[in-house]
Amino acid sequence: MADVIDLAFTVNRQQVRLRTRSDKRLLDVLREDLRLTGAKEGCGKGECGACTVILDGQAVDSCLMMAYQADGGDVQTIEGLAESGRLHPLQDAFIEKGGVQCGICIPGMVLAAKAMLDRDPEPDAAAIRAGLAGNLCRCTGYTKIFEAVEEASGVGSLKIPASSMTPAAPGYFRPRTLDDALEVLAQRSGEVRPIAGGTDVLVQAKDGTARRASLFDVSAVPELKDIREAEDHVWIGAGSTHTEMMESKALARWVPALPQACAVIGGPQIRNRGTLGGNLAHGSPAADTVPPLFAADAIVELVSVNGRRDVPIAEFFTGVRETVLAPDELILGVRVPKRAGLRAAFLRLGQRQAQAISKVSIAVAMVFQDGRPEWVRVALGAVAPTVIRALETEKALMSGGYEGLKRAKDAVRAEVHPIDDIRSTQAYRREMAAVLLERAVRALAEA
Amino acid sequence: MVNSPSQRTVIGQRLRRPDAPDKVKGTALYIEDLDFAGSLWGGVLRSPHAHARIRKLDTARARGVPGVRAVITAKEIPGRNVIPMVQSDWPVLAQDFVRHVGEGVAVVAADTREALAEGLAAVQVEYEPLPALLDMEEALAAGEVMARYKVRRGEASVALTRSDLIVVEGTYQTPYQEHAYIEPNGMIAAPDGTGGVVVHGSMQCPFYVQKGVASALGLDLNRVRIVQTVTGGGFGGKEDAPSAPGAHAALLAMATGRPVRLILTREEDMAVMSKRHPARVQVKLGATRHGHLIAAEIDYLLDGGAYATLSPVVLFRGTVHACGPYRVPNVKVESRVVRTHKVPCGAFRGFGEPQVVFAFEAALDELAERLGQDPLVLRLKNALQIGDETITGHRLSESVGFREVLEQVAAASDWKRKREEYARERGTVRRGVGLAACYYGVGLGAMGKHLNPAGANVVVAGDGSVTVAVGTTEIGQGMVTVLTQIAAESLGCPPDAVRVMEADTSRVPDSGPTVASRTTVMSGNAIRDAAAKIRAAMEPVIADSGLPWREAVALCVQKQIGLAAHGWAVPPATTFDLATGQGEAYVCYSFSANVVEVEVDTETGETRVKGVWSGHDVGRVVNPTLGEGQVEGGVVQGLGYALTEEHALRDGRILNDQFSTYIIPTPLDVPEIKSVLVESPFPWGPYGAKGLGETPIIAVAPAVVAAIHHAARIRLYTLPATPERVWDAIRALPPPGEAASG
Ligand SMILES: Cc1cc2nc3c(=O)[nH]c(=O)nc-3n(C[C@H](O)[C@H](O)[C@H](O)COP(=O)(O)OP(=O)(O)OC[C@H]3O[C@@H](n4cnc5c(N)ncnc54)[C@H](O)[C@@H]3O)c2cc1C
Ligand code: FES
Ligand code: FES
Repeated sequence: MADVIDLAFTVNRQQVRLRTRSDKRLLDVLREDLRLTGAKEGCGKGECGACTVILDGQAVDSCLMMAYQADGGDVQTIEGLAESGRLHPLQDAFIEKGGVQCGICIPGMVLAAKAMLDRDPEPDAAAIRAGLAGNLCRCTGYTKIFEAVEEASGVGSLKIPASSMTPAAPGYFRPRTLDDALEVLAQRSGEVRPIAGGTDVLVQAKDGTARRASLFDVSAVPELKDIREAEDHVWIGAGSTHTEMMESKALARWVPALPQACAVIGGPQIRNRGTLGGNLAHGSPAADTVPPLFAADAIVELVSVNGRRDVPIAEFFTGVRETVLAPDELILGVRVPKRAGLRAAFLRLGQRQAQAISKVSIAVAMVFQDGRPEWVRVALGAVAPTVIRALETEKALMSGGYEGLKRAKDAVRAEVHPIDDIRSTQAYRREMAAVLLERAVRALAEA
Repeated sequence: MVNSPSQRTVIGQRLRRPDAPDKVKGTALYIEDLDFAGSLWGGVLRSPHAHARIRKLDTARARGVPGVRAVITAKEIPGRNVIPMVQSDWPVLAQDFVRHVGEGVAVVAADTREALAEGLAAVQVEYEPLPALLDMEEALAAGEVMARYKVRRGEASVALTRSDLIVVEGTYQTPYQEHAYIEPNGMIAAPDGTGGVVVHGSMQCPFYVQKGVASALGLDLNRVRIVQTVTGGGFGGKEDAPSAPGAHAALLAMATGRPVRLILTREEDMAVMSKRHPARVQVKLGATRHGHLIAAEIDYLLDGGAYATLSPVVLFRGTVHACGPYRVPNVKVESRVVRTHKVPCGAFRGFGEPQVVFAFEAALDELAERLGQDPLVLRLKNALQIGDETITGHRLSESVGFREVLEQVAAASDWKRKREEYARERGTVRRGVGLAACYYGVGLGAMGKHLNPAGANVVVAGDGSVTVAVGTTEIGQGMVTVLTQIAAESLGCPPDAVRVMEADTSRVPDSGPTVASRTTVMSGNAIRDAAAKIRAAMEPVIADSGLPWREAVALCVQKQIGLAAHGWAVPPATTFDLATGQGEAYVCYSFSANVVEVEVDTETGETRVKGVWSGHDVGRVVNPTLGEGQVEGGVVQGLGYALTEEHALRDGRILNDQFSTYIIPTPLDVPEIKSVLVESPFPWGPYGAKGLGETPIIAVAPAVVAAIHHAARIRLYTLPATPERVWDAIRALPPPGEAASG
């Protein structure tokens, strides 16, 4: 049975303190405890965005967060948008432009739009689409929603609200230091699991393969948060979100394939919450941050009360959803060696342009010397039980030129071991590995 | 001013939706948002088998779970264990046998979610699995036919042997399509304290739910009140299907004496609620060398799933529209819907047309290629016009704007230039444009006559405000807005004086379902009927006074004039002979054509849709914003059907039961969409309107597939056109005669 916890946060500019069951999601607390029913549950799995709220200035899916993860934070829901009875310009534009039909997606859509406009008050057409990519609407075909957002653009406030509430959740649920987090893990190893962004583990909880009551939040641990450039490497804390990685200058310079991958993950809400550590620990062969890390010879740093250890990324995964991570260990972060002159690209194919899981993905990293490849890494996702490095393909590419590329395409076809599943076919994945390889290599050669 | 009904002011205006402010503020209350004091959690135990005998069903342990308040199986149903639909074969709960995965076996109500889960798990069922019919061709061979229709016109088989004809032939397959409304189905039922029940819920057809609940509880209809809550999308998926959760919740409420909320999860909704029927269509189509269509033979097969629900009516519509909006003198259509051990399929926007229209239009595209003719020219040559007969021999005497629709979408899309220019592309990524068309009989037509009339109650209060009650529903399509405009126009009052109420079976007589694009026409005419009565009562008092509306009303009130009326609309009679498939299938038709522009990546097989020009003859546009919204939404659903949407099944179980595996378009997947609305008024429709709910989805997939052919020279006979299928077809092309491309 779930415990009872205290929470404190700001909701629509009002300070809220409440006592509730610890296993509730943010969506449950909003809808049930606070009776703010504007956030809707269309899927409970981060797929539709109907539950979107704004947390500390970012759009998030409230179905993929435990309520205690918002403790001490600033939450905006649709109910708080109209100020003293006057509709927000976005709300007005949605009505005027005809962006509303059945309306079930609209609260989430409006809030996703607001979070976007707050950061980028004058988005172009492509940015508007990208900003709404985590929200499904089945009625409107989106056209009038885009028009509404365009109409309302210019109204953003670059000010990110900060809550003045002191967090109330017990440290057991939300440790504030690495030591405390490791202690929780050590004390109750096997019984508890960390939750970071929640974008994998709360999907599992809905499917019955994880328990909400057994989670504890590591997202407030400062040691996990950093992206830092050192002399010979870049350090990426496990708690870095996809959005943070996507926007990092250090990563764009030293591991360019990684931010490219982060930029196509899920939609904005997923990227705002999902983390590197979660992506690694979940162990999916389709995890998009992994091929770029393979192609960068990354080292994963693990930590427990007993100390730290380094694991090369290629040795971290042992099977589908299986890793070397011990039950009392946390991923602290990833170390990526700097390599001068590195060029890298990430490409993937999914079933659609957003909110899609890779059918096949590839990261290629190369260093050229006088136009000839001097150092090459090729890693592929979703074509084997784990992400793989394609060694023969790399060798072929090292020989350079069109011939080398042709041999590399043959090699990659042989090195992948894809399967037929609900997303694609074996034959297609095999050939696409070769197509994406060629595209990535050409792009790097021409860069 | 009190406008005389002839001075149009509101029709054709972009009136803001009266329901939109609550929706953007988050204050609109959907079923999940309602809180009934003391309510229990309801849930359904569902069959894991496609076909099995229930050997034992023991609820004793479940009843003993603390917090469980009721457990109901087929045995405990007080009324009939059947949800009446076209055929009465659909049980409220499985009895002795289960016939599809997900069929309800028992329902449970409990104090908490946890007790509910425990209670459901504690119901003991022993199944004896039986062989399951999972393939529609096998079901056909086994004679499991639920319904069949035909069309016989001229001598199709003989004509197709004529040596001067060019004949194309093909077999087409279309998949399941999920409605994917963002709000899952849900109901809350509560005893009304006088032996009856009130059911609130997300739905399209309150009168269907009413019949289902009354049947299960053994109550008279006047003891069963159904209230529609704000509904988060329907598209046909909340037409027949909600009767089951409605009956389940009502059974539990009556058994416990408490309100019971029964809200489906997304996964449950996708696994067990209705869908678009998968289909197989064989088409044989012949034309003269000049491109005059002479004969068509069509064999249309639908997979109905375990129970008939609305399948026969869906099949009927597909059958009579099988040859599209064209003159075809010799036609033979043979159509059947078969019973399989899978989830029952039902209504979905387009209602049996998208499947057969995909096949026919694809064949037409192929025919154009064989004839060396532009697909637009071929269609214009055969387009139905006033005076022509449909394949059912219905002579069209009015409101046929098809040629205009074709010409306007072609002009708007720059069809001719793109057709020529893109045909020369040789790169890896190639552009293409494709065209397809359809027509759609408005209303229920010959098959649904008894459901066709609709009522409206209009009450003018002393302050001049107007309450309108109708039996059709707002499901996002804009009914409230359109009916507000019609009420304002026909009463001569300002639109902001009008309030259209949520549907409630206690307010109006059975007005049939909210389907078939009939709402504007039927409820609109019922309102006009009521308004005319009110105006007639007002006229002698206000005559030519020129008084503003509210003052005019005040004057009537002073003179004790009754300002309330009931309106009733019955569509013009049609005649139809099922033995030959000849007659007036529907009173009138909407026409539509789409041009779709794509880019096909010939290496990855990926198709990106770059533009859609969607033309519709809707009779009269009551509200352009709503009209465009219907078009844009329907087109995007059609793009999903064309490119990504399908279900994968194993042993009758749907494998992709969530939005991460059932792939609908996101904001990044949609192209520019341009609506082209053509008006060729339908005299019987309110102010000439014909209704527009469904046409936008129907002729999208064939236009996409035609555009893919234009770009990549491949013919696809199976939807959706996934990259895998496109890539397979490109690989199967004979090597190009000229130098290797890209
Ligand atoms: C709609 C949707 C779309 C998605 N799209 C993509 C996509 O395009 N590409 C992609 O790769 N992924 C995608 N994902 C998956 C998911 O977003 C990513 O895997 C994400 O990076 C997981 O991070 P998280 O912080 O949310 O993990 P969580 O769910 O919090 O945790 C996942 C697992 O990691 C463990 N964990 C978390 N942090 C640590 C740590 N520091 N140390 C040890 N264990 C830890 C947890 O215990 C849990 O087992 C998608 C998910 C959704 C719901
Ligand atoms: S409910 Fe669908 S994303 Fe949260
Ligand atoms: S308006 Fe219905 S889902 Fe968006």
